[in-house]
Amino acid sequence: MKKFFYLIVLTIAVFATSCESHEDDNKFSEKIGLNQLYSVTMGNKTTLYKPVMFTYELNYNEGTADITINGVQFSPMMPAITMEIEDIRFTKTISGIKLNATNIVPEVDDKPIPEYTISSLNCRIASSQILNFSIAELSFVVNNSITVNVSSPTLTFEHESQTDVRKVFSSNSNDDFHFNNASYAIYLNPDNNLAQVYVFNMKFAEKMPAMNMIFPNVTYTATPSGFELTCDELIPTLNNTEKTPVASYPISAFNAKVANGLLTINFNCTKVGDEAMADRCFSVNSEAYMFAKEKLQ
Amino acid sequence: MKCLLKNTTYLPATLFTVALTYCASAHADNLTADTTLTLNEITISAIKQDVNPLHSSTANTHIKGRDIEKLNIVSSKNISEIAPNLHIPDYGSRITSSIYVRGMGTRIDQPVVGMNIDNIPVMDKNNYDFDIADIARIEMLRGPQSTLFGRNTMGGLINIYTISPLTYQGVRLLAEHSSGNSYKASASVYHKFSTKFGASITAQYTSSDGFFTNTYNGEKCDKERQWGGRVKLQWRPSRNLHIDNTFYCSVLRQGGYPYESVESAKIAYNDTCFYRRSSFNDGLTVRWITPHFTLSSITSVQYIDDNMTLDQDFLPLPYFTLTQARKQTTLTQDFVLKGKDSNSYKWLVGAFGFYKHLDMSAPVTFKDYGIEQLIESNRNNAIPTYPIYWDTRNFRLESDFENPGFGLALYHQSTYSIDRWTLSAGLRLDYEKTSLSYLSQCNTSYTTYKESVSPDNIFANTPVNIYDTGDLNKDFIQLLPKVSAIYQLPTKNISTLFFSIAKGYKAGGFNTQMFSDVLQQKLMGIMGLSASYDINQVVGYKPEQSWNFEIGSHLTTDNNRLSADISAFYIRCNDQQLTRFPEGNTTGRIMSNAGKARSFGAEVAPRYAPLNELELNANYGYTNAKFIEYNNGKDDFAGKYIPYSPSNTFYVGATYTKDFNNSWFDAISINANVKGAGKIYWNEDNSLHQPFYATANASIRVEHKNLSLDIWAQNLTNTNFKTFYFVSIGNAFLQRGKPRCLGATLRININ
Repeated sequence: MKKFFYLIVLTIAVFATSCESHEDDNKFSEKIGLNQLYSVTMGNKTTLYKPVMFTYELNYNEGTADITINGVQFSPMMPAITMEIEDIRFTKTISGIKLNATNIVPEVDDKPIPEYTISSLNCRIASSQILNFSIAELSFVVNNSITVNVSSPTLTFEHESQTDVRKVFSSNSNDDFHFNNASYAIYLNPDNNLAQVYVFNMKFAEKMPAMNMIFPNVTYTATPSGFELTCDELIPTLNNTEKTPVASYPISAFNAKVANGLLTINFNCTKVGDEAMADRCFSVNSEAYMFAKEKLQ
Repeated sequence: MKCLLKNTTYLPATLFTVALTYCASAHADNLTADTTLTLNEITISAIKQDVNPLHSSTANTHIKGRDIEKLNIVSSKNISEIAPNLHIPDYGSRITSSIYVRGMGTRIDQPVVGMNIDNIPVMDKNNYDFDIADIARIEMLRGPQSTLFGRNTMGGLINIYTISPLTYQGVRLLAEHSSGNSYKASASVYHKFSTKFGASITAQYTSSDGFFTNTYNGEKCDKERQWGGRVKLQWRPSRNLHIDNTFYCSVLRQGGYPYESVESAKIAYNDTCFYRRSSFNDGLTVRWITPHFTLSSITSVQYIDDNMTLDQDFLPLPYFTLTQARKQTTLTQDFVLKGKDSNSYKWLVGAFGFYKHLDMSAPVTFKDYGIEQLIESNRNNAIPTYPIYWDTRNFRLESDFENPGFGLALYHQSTYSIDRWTLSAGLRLDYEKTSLSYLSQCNTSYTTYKESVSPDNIFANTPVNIYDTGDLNKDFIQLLPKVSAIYQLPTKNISTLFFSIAKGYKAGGFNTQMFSDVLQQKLMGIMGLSASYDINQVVGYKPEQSWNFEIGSHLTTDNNRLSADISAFYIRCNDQQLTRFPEGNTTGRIMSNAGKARSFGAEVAPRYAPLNELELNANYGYTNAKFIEYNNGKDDFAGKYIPYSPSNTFYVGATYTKDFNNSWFDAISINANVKGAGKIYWNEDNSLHQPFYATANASIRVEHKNLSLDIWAQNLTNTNFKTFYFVSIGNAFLQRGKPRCLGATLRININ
């Protein structure tokens, strides 16, 4: 009888525990240094500044982060300072970490500077799968009046992508198609305010093979919430060694906006060589997020 | 039929010459071999599971020697549909052992059903299908056997036992001729040197010119030559020590792959398809029997060297070819300790380990038409203003792999009997690690032109040099429990009811066939066309797990004339492994994990012998297997039937034996049976299927002294059915089942 009892107990224990378990790897600390662009918006005016070094020190044991900005200035007349924002609590996300804070007094040379109190701060840090390095987007408000948006010169948007392609002047909605695996990388050149927009897995017709293209020399400007990129006309090139011009798909009315980790792209594409004018122009509307799942509020 | 008639001028002469040669010394009963498996021998043969199938908490089917001969069973594929809900379609080549049980099964990589030959586990599914002479018994255990037998027995286990030289001594000869100009011959000698030592040696040969013609070259594409041998040694140095060693080998040269294009309704491909295999296996079983326990050790060494080469497009066009050349060595060791102290409590503990090492080379060769259609057209249709042209019209994507792996397991089973109840619980802790080192490379080049392909219009020449290496690792740990209850009914003969809950497990691993696609996509990426595959996502696949709930009964009437096995089951499967051809123009097959699936059904297998001369067998299996969650990123297949597994299997057979005991015949047996399967869906969206089909088979056996002659027919009605259907690079193919086949088999047993 005793053996029978042990058998039952063992059976229950086994069924309760017969499942796989996973354990996460634990890192203790991490230091990420990124050369990043930032824009400062005061009132109606947004000024874009050259990249400076942003250092993010993450303490996983305590769940806090310190951000050091080397040479930041909030107006052209202000001298550049090295500002430290310390003990910001962070939480883990699907692809990285998220930092949020309110009413933090930063320090310069270990001395608090309450005149630059940060009323709110939001930051996301993750790994880009397209380019295999860390990306970070930071925004904070100083004294409730100055908005600072910080962004890497290289931005990638690869999450929850949605692309709609519509034939212009065609009333047949069957000609429209949708796909969700386009992704983007934007290289911002602060020296000439021109961006190279890398487009991955783009196609303009359902049966067309997806292509990796570069939209070259697109003008960008800073906005209160991010960037805007525009170009009237361009000839894309293939993203290959020889940079083959894709002359059969000239692009027009290109407009892209980056705000709060979201990229929205709109442009028209005209396939050269089709007989009917009405059939050869496509309107492409696409969006993709910089970070997975959770969206920066 | 035509082939058989063509050779009838010499066949009877051959058979009678053989018969006359041995008749002179003939004596004794050729039925001895079929009855050599006494209960004691079954005890010895079956080390882990219940020795008496009626005491089992598993649905099981047993086929004994005489039935094996009548049904002409020589390999695992021949038992398809003879066990309910078991479907083993015959297509492709002997590398293909796609076994489907109760809605579960796969076409490549890990199997859902394990196989043991004389208690030795066959670790590689590529080695499941070979002819085995002198099979004494086959048992098919359905439902998860993972607790005692570990990996890849999620759907069940096939145990094959060959004749023992300690229970049968003599010479057994077989000669067979059948349709397709097919021949079989085997010779076995069984000898008992002393009461303690017996040995047997078997040699066999199979040859067939095939049934299906490749219309491209007018040759039969499914011809086959197979040689095999077995040496079995059994030594009983003392009453307490039993030592058995079985060595078997097999060499196969086969064409195979009679895939017919749906569009042209013809088999027509221009490049070579073949499968070659050499395998050598040795298994040593040592049992030490004491009054209190039995300790068994099962050791095996298995080596397989095979090469599958395919015209992968199966079209009469120079598209592309694939070779998969493998060399694999596997070592296994199983220790089993069984207690014998108490009648009411029985226990078993065991430890199992294995090591496998696989070296594989799998190049894909792109040829002229393949380069034009799969690469140049795609690229030039998108960018006609700058067309490309490949510099050489033939290039290789090389893929080489090294895949070592090992596993360790501990297991235990306790069985407690009280009154009419037998309660059992078991648990297995299974750990497995597999690694893959890969080298993928390609060296080729192409030229981009302005406007048109002309030497005057060169825009750029681009070399393509890809050299990718990497290492991938996976490990899996599983707890595999089972509980069961058996109630013996208050009848004169043993009849039982059983209930069981068990977890099943199919190992994860690496789908090496996708590497050529990864390389191809990388090549397209170099050209500016995407999308590149993530190696980790397309090459690796997760284990499949299932929970099996089953209730059933083994019933026997008091006079033993009627028996029936009945069972009903419900299976819940997570991460079901499915083989599919990827979208677009790719060369390989991808193993993906479906979200969740479920299967429920029932099986009934009655056996009735109303007279001593007449035996009736039947079985019916019903399976309703559907996806609960399965979204491959493009389509949602939730609620659809799982493809490739039939929803019904059916078998009914009758054997009538009449003894004459005159100067001409000792006995005549007539066997007729019908077996069928279907509906079988060919794809996840269930848009294509094979309806239920049945084949009729029959045989007449004449026995005289130590001779028996079987005249038999398979697929007597020449039923036309598909055994396989697939779509590759946008083209649909099917393989048909074998046509009507007639044959004659002469057996001579001298002991």
